[in-house]
Amino acid sequence: MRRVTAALRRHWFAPASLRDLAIVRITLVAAQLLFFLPALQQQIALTRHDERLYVPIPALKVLMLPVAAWGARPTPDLLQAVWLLAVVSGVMALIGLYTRPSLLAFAAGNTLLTAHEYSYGESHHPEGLMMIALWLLALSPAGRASSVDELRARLDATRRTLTFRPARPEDDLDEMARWPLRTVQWLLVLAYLSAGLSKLVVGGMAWFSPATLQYYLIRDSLRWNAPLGVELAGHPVLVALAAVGTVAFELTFAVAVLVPRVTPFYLVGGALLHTGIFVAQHAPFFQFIALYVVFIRPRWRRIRSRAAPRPLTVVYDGACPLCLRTMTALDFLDGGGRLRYVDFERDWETAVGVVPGLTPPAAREAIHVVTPDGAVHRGFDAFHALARALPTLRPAGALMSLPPVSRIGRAVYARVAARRARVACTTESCRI
Amino acid sequence: MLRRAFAATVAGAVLTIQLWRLFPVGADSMWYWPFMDYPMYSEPHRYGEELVERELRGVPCDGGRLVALPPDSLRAPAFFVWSLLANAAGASAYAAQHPAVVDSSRRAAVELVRRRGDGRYCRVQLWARHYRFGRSGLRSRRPQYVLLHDWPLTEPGAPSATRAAR
Repeated sequence: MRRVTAALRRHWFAPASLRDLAIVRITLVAAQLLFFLPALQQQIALTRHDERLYVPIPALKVLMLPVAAWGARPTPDLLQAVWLLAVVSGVMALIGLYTRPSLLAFAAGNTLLTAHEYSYGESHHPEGLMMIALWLLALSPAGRASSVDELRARLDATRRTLTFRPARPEDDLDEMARWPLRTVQWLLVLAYLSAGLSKLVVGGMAWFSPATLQYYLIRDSLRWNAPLGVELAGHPVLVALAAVGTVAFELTFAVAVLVPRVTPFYLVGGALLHTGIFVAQHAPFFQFIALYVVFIRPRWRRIRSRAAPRPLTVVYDGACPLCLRTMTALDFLDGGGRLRYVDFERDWETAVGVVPGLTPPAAREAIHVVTPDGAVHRGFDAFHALARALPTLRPAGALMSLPPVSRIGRAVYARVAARRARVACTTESCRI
Repeated sequence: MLRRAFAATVAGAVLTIQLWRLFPVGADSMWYWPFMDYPMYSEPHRYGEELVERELRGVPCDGGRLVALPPDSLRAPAFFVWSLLANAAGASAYAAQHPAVVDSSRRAAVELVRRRGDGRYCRVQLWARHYRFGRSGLRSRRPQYVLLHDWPLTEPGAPSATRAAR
């Protein structure tokens, strides 16, 4: 029993990467915002449907409660406000600004709009899991990494302690980062299981006759004007194989969760299956493909570490609060771990080692950056070198290359550097 | 510890509700959305069955040409209209079991056109075309539409006034 409990704890709560959870947040919110957000025009059109067609589903009734009576029909003005709220909160959740409330508002807005769409006698299956996933993300620490919230928290800590500490790999691990991903993984398993079991129970062995899938291919092709479905229906052997493959995939999807080695095969298979269904039958289950992001963390990590380029060294003034905050911001933007930091006030020997000939006045006057080829850049040029090297700053790097910008940049840097405050130096090197 | 207990409770509740929604298999209820089952495409079919496309057409009062009335033009969801027309034609299994459904669906279809037609139509017609498929796929690519019913629009959907077309 104890072993089972330990295995369950590992499965759900083994420390996982907050950055991966953030990638899931960004992917799902971006996908929902760009591709799956209910169209406002369609929402308004629904309000013009006959009153008798309106049969609100419970999810809509519950979400409408704060603003209207139980079962009340949303007005066009309300839908417009909810849609706007969904867009604004979605953008905030995407960049991670007040992430938890933003995600809650985004999940609530999308759930209300979709539930409204389903309250007129027509409903579809692709959106349900995405809605649950958004709610789960809102309850998770999805905003703790790769977010404005993370940057603000780190800058606050730097301001409070007057020290800069680069992020360590262990900072990225959190025991609460795994459960939302696992829950969505198992929700996908249950959804596929439902689809597979229905075919076996409702259809029985007759379902595997090519006639069944041929019928659906032709029906949907005619409904949605997708000629490929009619063409495919003319190949009974192919159709029969597709039927067997589909049910096998649906019934065994749990293997993708339990055996990480085969996960990529299931994800590729699933993506092909849904794309094929869309092309042949115009049944769009792209939300499921987006949700696959909850699986693919380990491969991303391996690919990234293999391609990690050589580091740049930043020599900074650890007695200057502005410099400490700048280092904190740079470390936040340095997602790939390319930067090494040397506080010359604390570690003068190392500073001189990486920047030969460095003098204390020169070090205090400007930041120094040493690129992998050994070139030393200082002041504005140091920032320019950093902007060129860090992917998140590359657009700024291109801008800084423009002659007028670099001229103004150098002047601004010199002015700010001359006027920045320094705290009382207490370390050994201060006597240098 | 508290955080973990909260997470375990949420995850457990979500998965339990989703698991519970799986049964009875094939129920296809949206009542508990976003928790739902996924029985799409699970009904078996066999060769020799017909695929039927149904369409409402408005007969203009000025004697002009028939106007096809797809769900969009009636400002009603597509699946709702398709299901209404199947019931109005008495072709669905549900309608076969509940004869009153046929009558009320016809009233609803007539009423839908009456409300959305802005007085342009005096009659509404239900047309259908039948596709057949076999082992090698679709047999007839473009079968002709056949008139099934012709209903007046003057009175709000009086079923006694409907007549089956030949």
